[in-house]
Amino acid sequence: MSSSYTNRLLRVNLSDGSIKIEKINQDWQNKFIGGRGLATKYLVAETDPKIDALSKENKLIFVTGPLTGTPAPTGARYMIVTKSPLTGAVACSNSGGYFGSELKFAGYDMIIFEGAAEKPVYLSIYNDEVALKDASEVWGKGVWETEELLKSAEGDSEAKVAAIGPAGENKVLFSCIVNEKHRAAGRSGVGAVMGSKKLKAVVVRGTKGIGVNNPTQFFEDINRSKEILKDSPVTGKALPAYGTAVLVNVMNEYGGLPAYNFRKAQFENAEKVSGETLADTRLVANKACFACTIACGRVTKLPDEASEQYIVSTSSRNWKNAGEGPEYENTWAMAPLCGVDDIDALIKANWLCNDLGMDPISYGATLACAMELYDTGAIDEKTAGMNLAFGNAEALVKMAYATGYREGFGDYLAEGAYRLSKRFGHPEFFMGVKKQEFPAYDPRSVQGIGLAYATNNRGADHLRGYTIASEIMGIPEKTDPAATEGKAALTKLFQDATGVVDSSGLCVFSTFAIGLPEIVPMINSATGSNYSVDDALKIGERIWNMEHLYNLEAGISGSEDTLPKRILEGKIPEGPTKGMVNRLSEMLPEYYKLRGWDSSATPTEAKLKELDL
Amino acid sequence: MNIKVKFFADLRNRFGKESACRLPEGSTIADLFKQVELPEELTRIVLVNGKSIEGNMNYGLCDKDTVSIFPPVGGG
Ligand code: SF4
Repeated sequence: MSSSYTNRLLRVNLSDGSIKIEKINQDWQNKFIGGRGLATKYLVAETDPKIDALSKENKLIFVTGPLTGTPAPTGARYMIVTKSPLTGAVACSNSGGYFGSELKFAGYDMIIFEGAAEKPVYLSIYNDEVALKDASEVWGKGVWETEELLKSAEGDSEAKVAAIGPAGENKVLFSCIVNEKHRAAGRSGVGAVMGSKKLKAVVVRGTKGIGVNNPTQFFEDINRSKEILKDSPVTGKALPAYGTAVLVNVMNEYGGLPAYNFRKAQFENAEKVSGETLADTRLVANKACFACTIACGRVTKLPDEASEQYIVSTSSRNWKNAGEGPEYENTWAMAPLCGVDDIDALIKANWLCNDLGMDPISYGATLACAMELYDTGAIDEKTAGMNLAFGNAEALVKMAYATGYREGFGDYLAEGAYRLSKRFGHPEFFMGVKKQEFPAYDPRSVQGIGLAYATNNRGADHLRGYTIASEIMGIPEKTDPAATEGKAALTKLFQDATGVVDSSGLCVFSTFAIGLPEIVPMINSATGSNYSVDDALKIGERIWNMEHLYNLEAGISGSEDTLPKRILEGKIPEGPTKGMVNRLSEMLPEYYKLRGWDSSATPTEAKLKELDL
Repeated sequence: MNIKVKFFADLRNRFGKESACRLPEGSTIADLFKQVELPEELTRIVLVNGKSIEGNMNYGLCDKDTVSIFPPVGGG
């Protein structure tokens, strides 16, 4: 039966160098669709949740979904599933670009890396020719140079490269894996796991096609979705024109854009780093991932005079060339949260994060925490090696470099805000959940997203339950951001539905216009499955519970489903949301009840049976 | 009364960044939209002094209010 699954996985043992092709477990595929769900099932089945994330017992899984590599709009995504060294919880980070589709074209749904190499290696894939090769020439190099060097070593300019930079090699706890220089599986430190295995990169080239089960139906289904995406003012207009950073002004006007490490919920100079300013002054073009009709990516260029500022190394980086980004999250973390309003320093720090292979959200948030330590006198210029006052644009750029290489104070920043704040005696300055730093929406101003952060299986994060769509943007329906009523159900629904989107291989941004009634038929006609929307939601719920059980076994109890004191008790000091706190206690018990969990967040026997877990 | 209106994203192409409006006492958001000739369907998020009107076009305005108007937007 023709299907968009390749039904094959590559198992690469880095300790003994063996490479095997295996058939994907069909039962698991049916129960979890693919992508995030399927890979997590493999992780759960093959590893002990209590292991050290940076030990050779951990596995690193690259996985695609059934729609990855097909012409389904936004069918570009691949995911990295592993145990996170930052949180100790399950990690699943998602990236677009062209790497995931290429892996499918080479004939694989998934790669499982196990063990650890003694010397730096990279995996080279050309359809059925798969080999581990020496990477000592590129070890120590940035992501961008690595990509160029490996493409020429392979003699194939069309090859796609996913690599770690110095940050991953140096096990920066929030390092990421970057493909096509600017697309990253960003959060939770998946790059450090790759670094601990001495795996520098995966280079893939595939020339096989991807079949679909019912081509006539499939093209009908994808054309319907494409029409909806084109006609939507969000996916057809706002995202291509302004990128995700269009939200800077939205959140700021509303009083939900955290600034100065969450001391405030508005930034006085937001306009200077907004999506509108970026589009008017630094944008060269927008850019799309594979098969994406939205094209939210930003190709940006620095003005000549800015390219000479804050030079951090004499390496091959050419600041005069165009690069990509920043997106909304990166902008927020490295600008308002640090009090920085210099758009060029922001662009440069963003590019540095991409080249060093480092999550700009966690980097910016950790620097903001350091700036608060500095502001309160807990650290001084001698400890930090430089002035870390809020608003210092030079520190933003230079500390990015120091963090990636773990130089000087950067070595402390590389541990993330949770560990940094504790080290210097102020754990209350850590703004996040389960040791991962918050993203860009103030949970005091927007109640539901606070619940989504607190209960997120990968620690503070917006993408696994993006209630902002409803609470701020009115998609699919507007709910009041200040209200707690109904937010438990809203959060659960978004979390479960996102599990399906992530497992399908589509981009979550597609859901600003299409939903499961459009996505599920595409999965069915591509694979020959016969899921209903309800079946899919049940799978999303199964994935959520499976991840949650992994975390419980890893020792992360329900008591960590909480928010920092500043968010629960420290009222927003000024602006339109003045006086607000997050009222988590009004939402969490109801959420547990809806999930079928007891008050300690343990799923009941009945729920596990219902979900076949 | 005097109302400050701020426009965002592509609304700026047509209305500029900001404008100052004079409206009679008791005016609503609907009256403001009429005066600046802004069709409601081009907008999704309307905030008065940072507070969402939650779709209520009869929301009453007061002197010196700031109204922030956004088209439908999304991000991540
Ligand atoms: S919407 Fe943006 S991030 Fe998502 S697939 Fe398209 S270009 Fe990539």
